[in-house]
Amino acid sequence: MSEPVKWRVISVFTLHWCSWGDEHVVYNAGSGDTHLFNDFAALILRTLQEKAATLEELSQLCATSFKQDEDEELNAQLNELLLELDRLGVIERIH
Amino acid sequence: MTDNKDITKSSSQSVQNLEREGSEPTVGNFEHRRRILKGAAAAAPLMMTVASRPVLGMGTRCTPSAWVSGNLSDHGKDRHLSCGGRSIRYWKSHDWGGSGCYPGSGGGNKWGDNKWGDNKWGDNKWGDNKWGGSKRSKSNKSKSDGTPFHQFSRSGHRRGVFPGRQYRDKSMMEVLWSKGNEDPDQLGAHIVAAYLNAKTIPEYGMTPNQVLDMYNQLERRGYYQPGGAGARMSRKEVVMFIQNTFSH
Amino acid sequence: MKISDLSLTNLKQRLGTSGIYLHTGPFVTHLQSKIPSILNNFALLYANNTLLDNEEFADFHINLATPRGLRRWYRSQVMFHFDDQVPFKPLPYQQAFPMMEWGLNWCISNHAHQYLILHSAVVEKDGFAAILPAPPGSGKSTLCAGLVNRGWRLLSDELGLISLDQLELVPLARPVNLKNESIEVIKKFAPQAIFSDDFADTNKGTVALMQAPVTSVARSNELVKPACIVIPKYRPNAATHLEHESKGHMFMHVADSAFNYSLLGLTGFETLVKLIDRCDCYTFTYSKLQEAIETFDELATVNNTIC
Repeated sequence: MSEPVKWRVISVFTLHWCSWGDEHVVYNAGSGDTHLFNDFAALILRTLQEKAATLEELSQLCATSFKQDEDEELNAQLNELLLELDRLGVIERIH
Repeated sequence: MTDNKDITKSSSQSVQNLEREGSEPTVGNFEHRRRILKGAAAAAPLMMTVASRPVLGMGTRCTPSAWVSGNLSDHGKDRHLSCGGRSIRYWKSHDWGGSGCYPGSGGGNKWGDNKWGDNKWGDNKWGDNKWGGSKRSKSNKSKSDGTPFHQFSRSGHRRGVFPGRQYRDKSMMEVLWSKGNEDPDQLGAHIVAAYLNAKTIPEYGMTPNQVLDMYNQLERRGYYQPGGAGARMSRKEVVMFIQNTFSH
Repeated sequence: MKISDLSLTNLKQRLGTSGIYLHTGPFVTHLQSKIPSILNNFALLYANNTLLDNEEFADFHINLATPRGLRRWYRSQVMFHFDDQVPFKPLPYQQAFPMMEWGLNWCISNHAHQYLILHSAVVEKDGFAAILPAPPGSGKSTLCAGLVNRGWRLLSDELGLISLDQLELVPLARPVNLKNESIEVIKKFAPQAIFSDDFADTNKGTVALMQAPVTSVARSNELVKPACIVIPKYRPNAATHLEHESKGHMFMHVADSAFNYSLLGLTGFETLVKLIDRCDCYTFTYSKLQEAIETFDELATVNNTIC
């Protein structure tokens, strides 16, 4: 049985953060891109900056942090977010 | 709209990992849950991005990478301010000195727009249905002895510029003059003009090898990816980009 | 010495030969041209600017001239020369003076990377400085021209220069570029203002340049810290309305519209963070220029009262 996909922030890139309330501006020194994230996206990115995680682990984290159910809607949004962060070159798969 | 009056202004703080009070998402009521998932309003995005812009290319999108990733707003970069390249029309009727390519014995001023070109002898009157073959073949013959477009002819002997076989045994000058189905989107003509610009204009936004790579990728993959990665340009976009580099 | 201290004959002779060295804010421009409309409009609009000795170092060497060959005479054109390069395609001869202005903006926005350069107007009153970042067509220049004719100082109508170390706004105090209907609007609003000729059929329509107020030019060495950032939006018949904009969204708006944010890399990010951190952020919708000015006056008054 293959291991589930894990995600992490691309390790050679330094992310620089600044937050105002629920808005988080991030400069990716590797790509030169600048992103504005809301709390949800920022939480995921902060987590992946500290350690690699699977979709399931992130889903559990969101459910706990935001006191909500770990349901299909949450997983779908998470998956979409991860794919977008991957496309933007902020995170990468490691399996 | 977010009220920022409570935000602490502190420009003396280190900008790395600056945090403000209340930035951690910890609230868990139902309404806040919906807001977190979908943003402050139902349609608000989770994120926005300002892409890094390349710093070369005179700020006027004279290189392919600037074209694909540059800000499309007018932005003070006036549309007048372009890239110094010469147009297809120019190369049809001017000397190719300095390019290392030969237009052909029929190239240059004699067969330029004022006699055989599009603005007078075009398809609507003197085209294929009346004069087409004979006049065109006369002018074509005298262009055909110029530098071949492709590196190798069918016989394998001629040395031209571009890889592939799309334009068969045509010369670069013949490709400049090609139209319609002979040269969809007029890509070949634009590529020839871009190549001649790259060979003769030091500050042109592409080198000759970049033009070769552009054509090669388009013919082999159907798109062009500047730098080999990132955004892609279609044939039409490449044509638009090259037109953008023309100044006269 | 001021430009107005030279006779037109003397100015013509100098522009047509060794050129003149013009001081605008932190920059020195070496300008040469034999084109009469450059001479006439330059003499008028830069009358209050300082002329430097010819031995001065220049940041930019520019020359506006007709091309050689047929286009010198037939459907004649003008070319912009910068440091022995010709970076742009020619324009119709009649557009020589706006070409000089646009070209000088290009010189600054492509080379002055000791500043974070925003695409914005910048105005100041009683120490309260407002940055107006906005794309063309937003009404930014019209609002800027209105404000500087009602007691506000002009730092720039187009290029907001921010020093990277001290986060101070650096003035240019050059002519304000207006187009189409806004030319008549400002001429009526400020009948005493001095204008260039109208230049028709440009890519932006008809343009004209308004002389920078003499007090703004006199204070063009005076830096100021920014207090607020206001995105102006002109909407016909709209009610005057100022509302807060979130800092995150303002950051992205300004980053996207800055000329050299990417080039400056992490320094650009850090400088912009400090700028946004420092400033109150607003969007502003208006249709009536007088009401718009009153809103800005109130903003300055309230801010100065708090301080």
